Amino acid sequence: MSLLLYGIVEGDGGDVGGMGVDDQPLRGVSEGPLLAIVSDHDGPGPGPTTDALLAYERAVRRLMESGAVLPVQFGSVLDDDATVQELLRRRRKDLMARLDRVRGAVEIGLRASWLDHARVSDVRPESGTSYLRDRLELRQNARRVASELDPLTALARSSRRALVPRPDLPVLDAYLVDRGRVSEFVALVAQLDHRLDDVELVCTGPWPPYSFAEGAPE
Amino acid sequence: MVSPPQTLYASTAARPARPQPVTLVDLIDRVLSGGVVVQGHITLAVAEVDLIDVDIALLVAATAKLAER
Repeated sequence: MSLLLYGIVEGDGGDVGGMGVDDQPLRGVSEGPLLAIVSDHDGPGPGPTTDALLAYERAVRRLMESGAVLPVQFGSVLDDDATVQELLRRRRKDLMARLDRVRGAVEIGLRASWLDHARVSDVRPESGTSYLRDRLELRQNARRVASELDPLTALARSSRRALVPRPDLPVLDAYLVDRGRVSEFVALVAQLDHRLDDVELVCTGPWPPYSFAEGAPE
Repeated sequence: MVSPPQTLYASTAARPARPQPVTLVDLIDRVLSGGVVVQGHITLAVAEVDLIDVDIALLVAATAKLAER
């Protein structure tokens, strides 16, 4: 037997309801004020399939309906209830603080991609120097794009940024936004987009706060 | 039921008139690199390879599934 984890919420048990991966029912493992949402599986855990990913996503999203939730990394498996409780006990203070920070908010994703990426990436560098120069230029341009997007942080509780996570992506951001401010946030994205003529912006959400469940609080 | 994540804004000229479901890749990026990290086994993490190298038919099927909800 093994337990697949979906998310951590506040609560002391009761009926969780709903199905998880492989149509296994969801249940709660309670420890103090925290409740981990899990499903039971035979053997080492469910297989890696697209259906599993979608079932996990749906389950985490449903948890978001009833209150603050910290998603657990997709595919996390623990041996038994005692191990889950040990995790909740060990990290109680940290998890409670994180739940407080995400309560009433959703994650909004924003990625900027170069419009002329094909042209940029197809050029074969003539020397180490030119390669280095291209890389520096790419990074400087990415910083410029990133700074144009900075006003968004004023509408967010918190944010995470990856600068040039991939050659075609100068900026990959995640913002923690109050539910009531999402449309205001999206309107500002559209407004800032007018000042950026070499990138394409794509804004997605609302997501459960995947990007704000770990990492240093700021 | 909370509605599935959507593309809330896209600056492409060919922007769809109605909100579109997010792509599977958006989802994968988020669920594999985010979330609380527990000291356990990550059985489904191998899905990273499977899902990104997944054949187009499967990807389309999965995206259509997201769209149905």
